[in-house]
Amino acid sequence: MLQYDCQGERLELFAERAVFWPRRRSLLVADTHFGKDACFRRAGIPIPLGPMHGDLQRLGSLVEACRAERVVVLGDFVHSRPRADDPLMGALQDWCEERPELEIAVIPGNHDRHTVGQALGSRICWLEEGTLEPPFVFRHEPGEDARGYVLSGHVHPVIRIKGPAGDRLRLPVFQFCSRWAVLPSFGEFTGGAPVQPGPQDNIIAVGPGGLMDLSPREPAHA
Amino acid sequence: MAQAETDGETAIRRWFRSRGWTPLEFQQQTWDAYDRGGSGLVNTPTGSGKTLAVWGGPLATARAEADKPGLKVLWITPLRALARDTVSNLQQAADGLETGWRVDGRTGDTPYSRKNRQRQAPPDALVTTPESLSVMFSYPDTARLLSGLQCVVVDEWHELLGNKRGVQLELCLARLRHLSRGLRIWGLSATLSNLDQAMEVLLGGPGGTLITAPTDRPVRIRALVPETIERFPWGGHLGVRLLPQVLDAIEAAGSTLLFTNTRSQAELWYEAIIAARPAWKRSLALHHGSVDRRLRTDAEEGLAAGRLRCVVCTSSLDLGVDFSPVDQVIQVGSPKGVARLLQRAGRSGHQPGVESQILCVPTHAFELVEIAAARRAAEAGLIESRRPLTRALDVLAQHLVTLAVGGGFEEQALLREVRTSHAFRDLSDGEWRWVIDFVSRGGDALKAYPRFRKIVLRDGKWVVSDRRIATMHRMSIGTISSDAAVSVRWASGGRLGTIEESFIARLRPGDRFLFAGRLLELVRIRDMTAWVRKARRRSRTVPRWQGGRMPLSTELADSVVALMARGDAAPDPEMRAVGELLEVQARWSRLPRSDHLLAERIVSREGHHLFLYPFAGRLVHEGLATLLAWRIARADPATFTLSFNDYGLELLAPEPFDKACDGLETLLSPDGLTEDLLECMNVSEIARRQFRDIARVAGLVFQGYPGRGKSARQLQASSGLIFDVLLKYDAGNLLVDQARREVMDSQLEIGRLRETLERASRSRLVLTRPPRLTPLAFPIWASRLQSQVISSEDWRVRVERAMWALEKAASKDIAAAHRKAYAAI
Repeated sequence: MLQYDCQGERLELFAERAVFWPRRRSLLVADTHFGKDACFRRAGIPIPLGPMHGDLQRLGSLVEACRAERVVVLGDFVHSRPRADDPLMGALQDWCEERPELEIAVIPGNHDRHTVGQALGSRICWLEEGTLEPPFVFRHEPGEDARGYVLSGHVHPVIRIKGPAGDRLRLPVFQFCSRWAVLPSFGEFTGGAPVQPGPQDNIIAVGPGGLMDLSPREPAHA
Repeated sequence: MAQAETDGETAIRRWFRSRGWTPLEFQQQTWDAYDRGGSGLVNTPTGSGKTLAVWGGPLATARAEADKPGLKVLWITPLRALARDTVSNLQQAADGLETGWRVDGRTGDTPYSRKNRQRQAPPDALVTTPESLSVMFSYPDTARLLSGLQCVVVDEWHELLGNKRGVQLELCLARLRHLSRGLRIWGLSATLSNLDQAMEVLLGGPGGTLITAPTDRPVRIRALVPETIERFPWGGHLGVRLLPQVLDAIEAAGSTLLFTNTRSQAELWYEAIIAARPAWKRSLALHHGSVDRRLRTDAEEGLAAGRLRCVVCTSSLDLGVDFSPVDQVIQVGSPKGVARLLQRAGRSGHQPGVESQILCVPTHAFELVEIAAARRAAEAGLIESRRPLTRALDVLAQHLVTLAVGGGFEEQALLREVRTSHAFRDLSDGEWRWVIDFVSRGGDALKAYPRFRKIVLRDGKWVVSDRRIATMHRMSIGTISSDAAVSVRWASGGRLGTIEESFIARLRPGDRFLFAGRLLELVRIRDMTAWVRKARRRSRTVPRWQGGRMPLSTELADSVVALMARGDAAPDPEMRAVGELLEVQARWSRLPRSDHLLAERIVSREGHHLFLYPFAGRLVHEGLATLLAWRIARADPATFTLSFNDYGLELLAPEPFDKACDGLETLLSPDGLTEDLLECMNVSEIARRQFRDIARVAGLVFQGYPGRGKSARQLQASSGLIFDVLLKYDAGNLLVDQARREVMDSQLEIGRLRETLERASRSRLVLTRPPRLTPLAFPIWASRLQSQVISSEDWRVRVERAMWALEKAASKDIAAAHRKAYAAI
């Protein structure tokens, strides 16, 4: 876990690809893409069920470890609108029932823009894109917002590092730019897209079992 | 047995006479064997009358029998580009013998209306590809269409043997043998050293007749030798420096085929020739697999009509047809194998008795040695073999779904049928069970794949009931032979060809690249189409296509080492040209020898290098480098970058690894090879890369419907991602297992790898410490683009080292330093 000060707020970054905001007791994740495996299976491509359970379990452990009162998903919560008989519906319902006090808020993303409403059950609370919770603005896609510092997803950011003697690494990252931040994608069955960080960006790399601050010289803050 | 000539044979002789030909002995032998109801394989080089040898039999029968409607002959050709020529060739002969037969063709290029007409009113003979044959099996009425089949001819069988398209064909042939009793199967093949086995694989068992035509046509192998070597690049680059001599050679001949090993090289050479000789534009053509059919057809027709002075091509024209004589064949770069070199040479001088010639153009200094070595190997008759592929479960999975779509299959009956093929002769009950589970439930892990139903059981037969799945499957049947293909079109609509997705995905609108002989600028990409317009400024970016990277064959490699060991004592003109280079190699290090294994330790600004030269071909070296790096890193944390080429391999590390180098003999031990390779495959990217092909063939990745963006986008996942998920959540997945097996067998050529290690343990290890990169080391170092990384260090250590190195190297400008660190490759 890495502590990161952002806009005067203390944030906690986790190698399990989540951000905890202690003041609001909220756990933020992006791009969970639940149901992507089912989407493939419906099209005749056999992807096992494992990632769904794995992701839900990981999310649950994080909630417990932080004693979070709310989970905020910054878009693409589900990969596509699930059918009523999808295993995801049952699993999601069980997961919610196990945590009756937990608030679950979701910003719609490009994949689940049409799934809003009661489709996923009454526990899921759909927020507006660009919800303001000072000093932050919650959005799916990164971009400037005059009202505050944007926290977003959508990109699935990954960096490629070249080392001496031809060494090469590819790691997901938390990317903090001057006006917005991009979280790495949470879902296990999601890919990543390489980003080229600007010289002022703070980059926290996610590796097996840990985080590494690759920001330029100054201590971690934005 | 009737000795009297049949009416059909008389007709053939008459027709031959009318054209001024005499039937050759091997043709007569084939007609006799066919007449007896037999199957077999005909081995002759290109352009020697092989088509008529196998076509004569069915035509003679056509005359003898009353006119029975329906399809009687299937002619399978590996490349769509050949189908048109073949159809007209066969039709000509059928007309000449007054059989009244109609010949037609069906490939991926055939318009839908024509395919439909073929189903309503089938021709007597159909020329098609293995993929199109598979697609035919996905339609329920195909069984009826093929019930009267008498004969299947498989052209260029050597090209299909040993890869998955051959396996796909084997399964189709098993089906055809089942549908039509007494079916005669005839193959045509270039020379291989394992022809008997090739025939057995084709026929599904022994009992065929092998007919070989004597090859008394001499082959002359010449090389373009540069005047001076020191101005000659050592690295494996384009070698367009020899362009002036190549232009002279093209000018001097009437018609030339210029072969390159890769499509990228074909594009670059085409552009280089046009730039040097703009007046040749109309008489020059470009032909390779990614160029649009219309442009390819223009090139084929132009060559046949004598309108073209030169066609720059890759192996798409490698597969010869009996006509279109060419005066001259030029080969750019080493052909990597003796058989391939001879096949290409055979495209020249088609008149009987005239010698075949091939002019080889080296693209780096040591290719001169390869050319001389190829000549010696050819003279000694050292031709390569092609080993058949077995147990390709991904192909079997695809075939099962094809049959399920095309009317359904009964499980036990199909298992028996599949086992009559060579590829699946030893298919175990467990493997069969697993494949059935894979295509019906997604896998045998219970509950792991809910809602997945590709094939379903109805009335005792496995069928596909979902129309969407059926359509998707038909579209993906051709995936064995190609990667995800993006169509390239002019903004105004015309088609240029296809490009692999991995290349186009890296371009942005405005980027320029060379393709189909034109300079293009990318306008935009939508779905699976790249829209382009003519670019104004020059660019040297050429698409890098997969494929075309054959390793040096064992036969040729042995010949190369033998020649190098002789140094400048060898009289070949090529060897005299590289004499000085070999002298440098001998002075700074050593010359390679058959009974030595040469190793070089070099320290440079980059780091610490270990070069090893087993001369066992690129694939073995990849495996060996991975194995070595893994064995060293197992003992102490280390990170290695690996590079390799046909001659040797390189391990590069930021820190010295003296202890390992001192114990090199132990590290090269063949003991525990299999276990260690399996282990290090988990650490390296190799199995993951191999899985790409398997994922595509087995239907785990879907290319997408053209023009339907949204639904395709939802199904996007890289094969690497799928591999990771399967590895973690379905450990028993046999496709993952197949990836590993294929890496071992074909990708790493484990048999050859083991032999290399055993030979190494019998040889003397010679370790030198040259002051800088030697002539042998340089090309490996320069091939860094292909390199991989093996590491047993903590990722944090590696990142820190990268950052530290950057700070050291960086200028005051921190922005530039960051850009360097994070540069996308």
